[in-house]
Amino acid sequence: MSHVPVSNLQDDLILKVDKLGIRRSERWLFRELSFELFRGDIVQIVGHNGAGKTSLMRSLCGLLTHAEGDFEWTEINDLPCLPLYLGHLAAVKPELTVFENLKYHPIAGQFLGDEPIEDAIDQVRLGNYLDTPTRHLSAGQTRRVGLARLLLADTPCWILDEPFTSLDVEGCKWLEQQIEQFAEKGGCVLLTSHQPVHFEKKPQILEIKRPVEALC
Amino acid sequence: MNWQWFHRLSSPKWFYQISERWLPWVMGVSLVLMAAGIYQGLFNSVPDYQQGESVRIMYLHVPTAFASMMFYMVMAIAAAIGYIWRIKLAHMAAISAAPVGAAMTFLALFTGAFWGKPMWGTWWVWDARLTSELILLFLYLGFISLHQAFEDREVGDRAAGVLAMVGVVNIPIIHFSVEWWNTLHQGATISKFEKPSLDPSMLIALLLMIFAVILFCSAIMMYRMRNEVLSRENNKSWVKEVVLGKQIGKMK
Amino acid sequence: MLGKLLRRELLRHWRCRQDLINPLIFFLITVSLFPLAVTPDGAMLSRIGNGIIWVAALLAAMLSLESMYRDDFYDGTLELLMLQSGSPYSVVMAKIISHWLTTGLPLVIMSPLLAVMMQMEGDAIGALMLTLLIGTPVLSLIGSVGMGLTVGLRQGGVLLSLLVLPLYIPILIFGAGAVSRAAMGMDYSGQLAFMGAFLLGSISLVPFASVAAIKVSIR
Repeated sequence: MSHVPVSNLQDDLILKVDKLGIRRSERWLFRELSFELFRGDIVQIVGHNGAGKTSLMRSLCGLLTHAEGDFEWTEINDLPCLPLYLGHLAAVKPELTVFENLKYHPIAGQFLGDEPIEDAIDQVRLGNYLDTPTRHLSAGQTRRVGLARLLLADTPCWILDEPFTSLDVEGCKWLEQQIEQFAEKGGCVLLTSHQPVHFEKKPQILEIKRPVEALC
Repeated sequence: MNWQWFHRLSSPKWFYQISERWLPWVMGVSLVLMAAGIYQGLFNSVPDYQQGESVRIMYLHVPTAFASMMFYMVMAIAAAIGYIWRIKLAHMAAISAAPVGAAMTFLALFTGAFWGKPMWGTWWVWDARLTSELILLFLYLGFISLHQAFEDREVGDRAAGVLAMVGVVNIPIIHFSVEWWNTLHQGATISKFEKPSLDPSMLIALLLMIFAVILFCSAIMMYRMRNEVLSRENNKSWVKEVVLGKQIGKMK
Repeated sequence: MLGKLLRRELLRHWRCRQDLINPLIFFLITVSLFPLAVTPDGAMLSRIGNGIIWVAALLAAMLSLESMYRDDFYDGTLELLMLQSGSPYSVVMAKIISHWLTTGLPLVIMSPLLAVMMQMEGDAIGALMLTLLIGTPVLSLIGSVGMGLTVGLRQGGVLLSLLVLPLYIPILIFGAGAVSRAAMGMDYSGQLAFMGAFLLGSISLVPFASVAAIKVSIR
């Protein structure tokens, strides 16, 4: 289902972060953070509560301004690649139906046709709820509407902030599988999770540490 | 091109040090000018042949009105610079200028009302300039409240920066439409420099007061900026040195 | 892109259509308060009616600004749209257009009814509709900047009026001015031209300011 635009990419490097620093209310969350993301990488960001995991993800997506340093997404068709970001909020409109939620919200820079959307809804086991307004769904089901976007996104990078929240065991297993398959096909995934995650290949760990000067 | 000076200029520490040297001078000159202006205005200038003694309110009304508009421009330009080039000091300048400007706007309205009572026989007239001044007060208050509404000061800075830029585009439009709406006020007095309609003694008093008020406002703004610098940079080592140094000085 | 986004907005409004009627009822009630408070005298009403209707329309448009960003901000769809569409300007424009279609346009359509209640005459009613037709899009445009700045704040509503109302003054002056000139049988094309200029000016500048404002609010 989900495919990665392989042919358009010249090299394996997808994201290069160079000495990034983020400040909140005049307090540094972290500084001098450098790392690189390649195709096939699964990177888990770890750090205690309030370390800036979400801030880092939002900053990489361009939702948050960073105070110093820089990062660079690889270019696809001369445009910087647009990652798919799923945050704490499900980003599902309660008054729209499951189908409309996917149809009228752009995913990775484009709107999708009816068929792939219906397929994706079947895959997240919401086929019976196609035309139900999402306010009638449970929290886990709403979450899965959001996750259906993973199957539709035409992007080489997923950024997932706590994707396992309010999913059942089966749902977690399904999501883990999707992430692994996506990485095998050449995508890269940046995620946070408070629950232990089970991948066949151990994910790389990126730890966020408080800068020294903020401690004193 | 050498950007060194630019970088230095935008450093809060540099500002704190240079302002410490400048402030007494700015404040001193403004007080001297103000004393001279008040003397000239109250004792050494002629009363108006139509308005009599009440014309002397002008020596406070016109400078405050002038300062209210000037400081809006200062605030907006500083906020825009801060927003575009992300200079913290510029944001601090903008947020320090706003209450000063708002106070001047209020004073201009207040003295305007007092001038209006003997001239027009009423405290408030909906004429173009008073109304513009009132709207200017609203704009100031909007800027200040928007900045205060954000818990994170840096976010407040950016929000207020956007608002200031929108406001600056709008001010000429608002001013023009209010002018069109009502053109009852007497013509501009100060801009006619070639053929002054004012007596020279009045003009001297007015100019003295204008410079005095502007310098006074700048001094107040500098005080506010220094406070802002200290409170925002409170975790920097140089601030600790400054504050601790002062305390030690007091103990001696 | 813009079409799809616009359809999304309209669909969303259609699903909560009871909310769309509220500004219209507000408009009606506010205007009908004035004869009760001031005077039922027809000559007086026809003189101040233009101003009352314009002020009421302005307040109704302002109160309905909430629907533009607030819900989307709190359920996360606003950041999804801004980020995943790849063109935040289309998102903002779609929201402004749909706000006008769901609030401004109904106000314009309803205004003749209120004008008749205010004892206004034929020429003035035409002018009222024409000025509202040009003026209400400007209200939506300027309002979107104010709403973008206050969307993340808890007591955003009162602050919004403090930010937006002073910026609405020029359009109010020219709108109400044109109607009163029409009522006196004078030519008001000059006022209309100015309002048209405001409209074009705000169409070209507001998207940038709105996107900047929303980017400040999304954190």
